[in-house]
Amino acid sequence: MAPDHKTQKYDRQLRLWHAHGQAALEKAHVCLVNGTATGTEALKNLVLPGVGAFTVIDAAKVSPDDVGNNFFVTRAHLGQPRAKVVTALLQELNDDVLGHYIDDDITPFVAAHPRYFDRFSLVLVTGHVPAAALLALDRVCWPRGIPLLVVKTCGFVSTLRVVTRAHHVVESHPDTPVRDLRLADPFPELVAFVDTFKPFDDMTSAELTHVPYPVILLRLWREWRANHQDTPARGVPQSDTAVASAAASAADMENWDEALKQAFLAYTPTSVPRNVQDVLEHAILDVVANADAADEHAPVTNNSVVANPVANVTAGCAWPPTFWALCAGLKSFVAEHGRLPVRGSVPDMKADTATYVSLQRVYRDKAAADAADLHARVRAIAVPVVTTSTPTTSSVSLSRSSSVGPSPATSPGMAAVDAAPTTAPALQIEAATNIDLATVTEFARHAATLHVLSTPSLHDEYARAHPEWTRALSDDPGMLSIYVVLRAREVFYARQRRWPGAHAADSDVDTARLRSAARDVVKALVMGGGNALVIEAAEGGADAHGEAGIATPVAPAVDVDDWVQECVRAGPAELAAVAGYMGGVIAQEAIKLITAQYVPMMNTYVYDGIHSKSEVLKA
Amino acid sequence: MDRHAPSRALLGTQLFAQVENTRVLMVGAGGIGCELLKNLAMLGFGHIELVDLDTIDVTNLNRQFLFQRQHVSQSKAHVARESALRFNRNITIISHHGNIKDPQFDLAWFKSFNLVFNALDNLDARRHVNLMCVAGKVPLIDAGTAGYSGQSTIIQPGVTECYDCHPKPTPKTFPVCTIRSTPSAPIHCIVWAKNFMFPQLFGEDEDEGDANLVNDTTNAKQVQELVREAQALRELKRSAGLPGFAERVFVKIYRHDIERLLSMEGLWQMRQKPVPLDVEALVAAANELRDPLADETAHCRVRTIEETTKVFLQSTAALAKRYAASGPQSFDKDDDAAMAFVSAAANLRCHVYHIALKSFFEIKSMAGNIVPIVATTNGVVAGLMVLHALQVLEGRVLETTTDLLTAPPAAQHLVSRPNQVLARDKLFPPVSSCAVCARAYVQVAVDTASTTLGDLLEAIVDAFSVLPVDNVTVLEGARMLYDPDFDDNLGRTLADLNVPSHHAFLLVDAYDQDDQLVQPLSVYIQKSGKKGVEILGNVPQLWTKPAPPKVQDAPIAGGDELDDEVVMAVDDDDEDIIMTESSAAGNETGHVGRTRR
Repeated sequence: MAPDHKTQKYDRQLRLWHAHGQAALEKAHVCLVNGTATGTEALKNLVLPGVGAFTVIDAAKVSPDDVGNNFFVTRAHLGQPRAKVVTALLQELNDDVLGHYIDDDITPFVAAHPRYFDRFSLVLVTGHVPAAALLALDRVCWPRGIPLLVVKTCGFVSTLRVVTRAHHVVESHPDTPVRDLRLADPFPELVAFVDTFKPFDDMTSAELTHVPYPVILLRLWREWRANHQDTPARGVPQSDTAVASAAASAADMENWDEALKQAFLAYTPTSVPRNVQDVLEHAILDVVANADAADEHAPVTNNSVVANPVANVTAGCAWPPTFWALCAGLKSFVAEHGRLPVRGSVPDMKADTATYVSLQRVYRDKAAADAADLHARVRAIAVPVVTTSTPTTSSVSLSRSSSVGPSPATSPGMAAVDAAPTTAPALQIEAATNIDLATVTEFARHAATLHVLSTPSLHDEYARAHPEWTRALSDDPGMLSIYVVLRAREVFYARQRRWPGAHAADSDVDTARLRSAARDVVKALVMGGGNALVIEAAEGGADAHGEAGIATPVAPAVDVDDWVQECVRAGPAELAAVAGYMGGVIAQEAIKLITAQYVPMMNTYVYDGIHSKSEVLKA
Repeated sequence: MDRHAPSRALLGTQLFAQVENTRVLMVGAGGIGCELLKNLAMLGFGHIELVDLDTIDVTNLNRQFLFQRQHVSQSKAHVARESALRFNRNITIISHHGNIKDPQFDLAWFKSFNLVFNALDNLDARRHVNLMCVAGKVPLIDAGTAGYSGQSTIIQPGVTECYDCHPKPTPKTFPVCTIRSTPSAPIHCIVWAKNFMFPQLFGEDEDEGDANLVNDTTNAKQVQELVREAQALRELKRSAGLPGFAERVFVKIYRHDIERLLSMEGLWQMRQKPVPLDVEALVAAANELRDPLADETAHCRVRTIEETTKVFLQSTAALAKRYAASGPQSFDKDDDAAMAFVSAAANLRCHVYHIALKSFFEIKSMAGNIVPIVATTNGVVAGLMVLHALQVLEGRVLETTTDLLTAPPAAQHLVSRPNQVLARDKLFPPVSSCAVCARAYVQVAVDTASTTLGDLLEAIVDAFSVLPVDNVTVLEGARMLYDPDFDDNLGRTLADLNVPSHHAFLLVDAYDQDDQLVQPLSVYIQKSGKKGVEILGNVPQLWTKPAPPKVQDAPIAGGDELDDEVVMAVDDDDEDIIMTESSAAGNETGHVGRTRR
């Protein structure tokens, strides 16, 4: 009767995300671009808890620097393909995980094989990658709804940008438990239950101590309303007084104390929270609502708001498109009832067991009725459901004995990909009749804590102006200056075809060039067009702007000199401790994205390891 | 090839030289420890010692990546060392498979380190390391994780708050009568099954518990019943391992004991009465069933009463057999039979008392007090610990002592709240009332067999001129050894006084004198073969300050209330739930059940 080895091995983490979170993780396939110290750390933290599969795309050969900062490679690996080495070593950490690698550079690879990315649940980019390649990856991941995580590291500083088009969270695990008693808007069954109690005046003191506080509040509130019909109903402090005077006569009774403490519930109506409104107003629901049976076979691939379209491999696969079908049902439920389904759980309170159990039953029955109502609505709705067309045969597992050809262009994975019939993921309309009541019930329980989170695409971030940052740039750039300098490195690369600080001898020249690139980035943040800076390698462009560039009235002079120098000083080196820290942060966010549980950090996380500071920037 | 080139380039030659020459101690080679050792080794820390008393368990493998399946049940410290050395042979790593409180890890040994890292899984050891670091003035980086949250904090003795500056929550306690007679929540039944019934049936025979119960005269009749109940159980226990034992236990605890409780009318005036189980019918039904535990997918749902009865009977029989064969057993959440027994016993009791039943998985969480842990948070925290260490080495903690409240460069972190991956808290100076930080520490070498308390006291008073000769007290823990009205012990040797053979701190406190307060002093007893009393190292200067007017008790300083700190549980922590007497008078004599640590 020993628990199976997975339950045992993953015991501690299952308590965080439960069996269905683990199932989502085990179904996920994560792509790592570049087996750097940071990238390997992050992947290690996904392999240990049992991610389904990973693929490392990297053309580099193991260098002395890798040996110095990457725990997973040793001197014996020098000169071997880094993708192969780190894949083998990561694979060793967990037998349940499949490791693949592609010994190729991301820039040509993404251009040649955009469809290869269909299989991934999440793509993570680390190391020094030209911005042009980042934007190319963005163009591949964004339409497919695949979350893209971009990590840039330079010495002690690092940023993590999460790019997601529409990430949904059903179980957000709020810090304080959701309390859903509907005392301000009692449903008829609850009112009927309250009416079964004798008037308080007729109760013995023993009976008075057994009345649960929701009953006390509902009754007192109703009496108070009857006597104060002219007083505005909401937020009346006097209702506290009513409870207080009643409670005073029932001195030392804990249930009456509870009533006093919870009195605000009696006149705080249960609203539909902002986060849920955002979900219900999401554009994708219009598509769902407008899709009628006549269009059953019409592909809607061009629809611009499909989240995570590849059903079985994409992050958050536990819910979409089921998720959106459920949301469409919920929207209809809210439209008719003006409220969310009742959650159905009752917190601990003072009451005798029999009464407490009856009260629990009232809420539970209501929750069950609401779930059934929602279920009927969901079944009536047609939603775009994705048929899985990703050929599973094309995934190639690493075989230790297989010899890898020396030519990077012919890695073993590639032949299979190109040979496989690559059908694009097609969207079809199906009635969501296959969603069972248990799923609907679980969804209804979490209705108040749903989230849909979106960030701009990477292209949007680079291309558009950021008026929200303009003031910060001139007043107190703070950690925004780290962001600016890391973007400036990409401009530097586009102009020089190498990274700043690569050769100590050039450090003065590099500093000047990077400073100039930083000015151009600031200008782009104010006026837009930052994508052109990294795509078109304007030879000598840096010097062309010169001092005149910052004199433009709209572009504030931002002092980023410290970070420019730090960046040149650090060069391409990575520090093990920063890699360890960021590896943890990245994997943590990746797991939140993959399991669709907990609310992930959105947008750009900036870490400064020199001052132990961090900040989240909204691009 | 210089494998430390990246570190050297980024840290600069000077800081890197410090890193290479620093002696660091890390306590704990578990979840955080594995990550930390990797970081320290990669960064090039030249001398690392690590201590861990644990062996590797299969549930460690989802995060403690220096260990693999073939290492299960080997020493964590030794395996971690070997794994790390595979990747960096240029550094020295010394591993100790032992308890950090062992005699060999004395104050002098702690002082031989420049920096200590706490990567520990329990409160007691964490506090011990904190005390030794404060006493030895060694900077400490303390860390812990729970789920997606974690923290790393710099403790620079005398400069920042220490681990003990703020009291930590004590394990939750329940009144005995709630556990034994009138449970009203699932946790009460789980505590009953795990901390009372399990040791009663399969643990060592204990009589003291009853004696303590008898002393509590608040409800004589109830207590008498409980004693009779326990006696009957002991009677029954003699037949452990014989056929029919499990069924006899079942009948006793779910019918006879409940019927006896029902006879006490007073208990049920305000409560719903429990209903004894229909034992014959349930046993008969259970015998028809196959092993319900065989279906693990059912661990997450609540099993039926018949299934639960089956689980109870088979796990009781299995544990009784083990008891008969190999003696007393203790509860372990990873012991399948023990966990099956506790889950079934608790659920049957819930049923009797009309309390909602729980799934096996939920009960395991509650009984084991299992803290969720994941590799990612350990990675985050261990990275922070090393970056904090670099700040300490650069002296960037000390620089800020003057303006610590407003501009600390180094800080304490909580990670991963929604949209707030890394939150930063300020470092505060030590709390003036802290029992650890407020004291001065001195290390004294004595021959405990020949040195008397009088000899020691004389040497101390000589060395510290501010101590009023006639007005000091000496305590060892809570035990009074000397005060001006109690000089009986002055002629006795320390050995005779049973002053512990290691980690003994004698507390020397001066009474207020001439309206001035003198800093309390802790004297660490270092055993030596030489006769006489030798004060080791520098004699610290004790502060004195004017005593506050004694008119009335001053209100508690507001500064202490800044402490809205979240106290993190730590990796692998499982403090037990303790049952205590319900004690309005704060009298905790009757610990029933046992605590594992």
